[in-house]
Amino acid sequence: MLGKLMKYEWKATWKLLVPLNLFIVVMSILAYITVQLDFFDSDNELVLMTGAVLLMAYVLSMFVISVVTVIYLIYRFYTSVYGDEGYLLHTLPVDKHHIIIAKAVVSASWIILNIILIYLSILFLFSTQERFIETLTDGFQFYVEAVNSYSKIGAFEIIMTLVASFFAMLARILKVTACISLGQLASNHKVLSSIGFYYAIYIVQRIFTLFYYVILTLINEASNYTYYSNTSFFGSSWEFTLLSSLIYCVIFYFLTWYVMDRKLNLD
Amino acid sequence: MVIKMEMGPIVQCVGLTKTYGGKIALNQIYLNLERGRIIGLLGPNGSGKTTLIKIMNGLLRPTAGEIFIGGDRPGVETKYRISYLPERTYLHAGMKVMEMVQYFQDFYPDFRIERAFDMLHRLQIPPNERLKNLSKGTKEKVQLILVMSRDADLYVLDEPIAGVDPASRDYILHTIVSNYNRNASVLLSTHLISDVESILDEVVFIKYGNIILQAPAEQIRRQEGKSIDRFFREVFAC
Repeated sequence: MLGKLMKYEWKATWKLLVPLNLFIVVMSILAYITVQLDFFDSDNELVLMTGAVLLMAYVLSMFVISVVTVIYLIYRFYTSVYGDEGYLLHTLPVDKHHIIIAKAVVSASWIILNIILIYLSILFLFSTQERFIETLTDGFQFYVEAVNSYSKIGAFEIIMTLVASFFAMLARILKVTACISLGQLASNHKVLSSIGFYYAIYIVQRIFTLFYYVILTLINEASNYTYYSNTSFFGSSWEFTLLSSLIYCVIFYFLTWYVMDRKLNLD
Repeated sequence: MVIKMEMGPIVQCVGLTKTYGGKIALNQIYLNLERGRIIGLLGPNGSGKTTLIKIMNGLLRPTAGEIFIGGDRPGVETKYRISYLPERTYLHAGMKVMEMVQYFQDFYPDFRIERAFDMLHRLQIPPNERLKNLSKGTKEKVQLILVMSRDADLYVLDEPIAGVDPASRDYILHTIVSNYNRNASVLLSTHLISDVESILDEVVFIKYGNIILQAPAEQIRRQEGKSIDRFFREVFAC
């Protein structure tokens, strides 16, 4: 049944998200042409203006598409699980775990696809700009050398950073599903309650992170040893990101399941 | 004692209670629904009909007491047995009628696709039409077709004729009577009693979360000397 749930989740989401992602490709090609045709070297104001508008539209579209993708996935979860469509979903002979897994996997896949496309788009856009490639390569080398000066960074660390990033993203998805689910416990203003839960959980997470660094600093000072982990692309150690994300995944998954299975109350 | 066998009651409620905050929606209900019967669950608005139906379908958890569907508590197994038509449209508007038929066939092993297409054809509903292009009444017909195309043990129909025109009601009632599995039961919740009374075998009256009457339809007509609709109006007179 999990496979069938995922199949229909794909079918329900691709109608909007495939055209959106194709739009990234179209905008990338347009922006590429703008860069290639040296619009910005022209003396003609109209050409200059067109180039500027096209590049601005490109940057804006990347941002808007990412935001729309996330908002649509949240909306889709809300309407299909706790809206009218929930009457069908929750009377299917399927396990509640399968529902959560199907939604989380499909949402994660769309977000990953979106991120990859945007990264590829930026690389594609500047692929012929030697200065950009040089800057990018130099920057990466500088980063690796800087990190290597106090700790070794190798393939393992890079892979683990990516793994940690994946679980961090999954934790964010499950955090949203948990908050939407917890919001259903309120008799009225369920959406507002969900937003309230989101910020309450966010504050708790920040406090948890703060405690971690305070304790880490105290340990370092006590041992008179400066600990630097392999810094991830997000500025914190992959070990901490991975561990905290796994804990959050478990907590948010359980909260979502608990409300969906034990406290379900469709309007 | 819970009877868990093919010929036992399809629904057993044992002291079933549901409260919302301090408000009692169902008050210690004891109810057995037998197989092979069309049962009318009748009561005014807010009497607890939909709450009872939601609990049967696992959409709500009881506060106290228990409910058994074919001997099992509501769960994945009982969802194979119940074919449920809610009072609202639960179809994904972007899908075509045919895709919804495929959806039901994918999830319910007892779904009979040829029966569904036959009913769609009779009601002149184009299978390739998107649901968002259909009127509210036609969407309700599509839902009813999907629900009645299953060979379930229990059909739970919450207001199945409320949104359709009077001309279609007879066809829908005919569809219900002629399509349900003879060993199964149909639980029909409605306030349009006069329209459905001719097909009911049994009647359950529910008021303020209490079952106040459960009797064969014919017995009520004979004993009271009046139609169920008239009797209902007297019992629930404001």
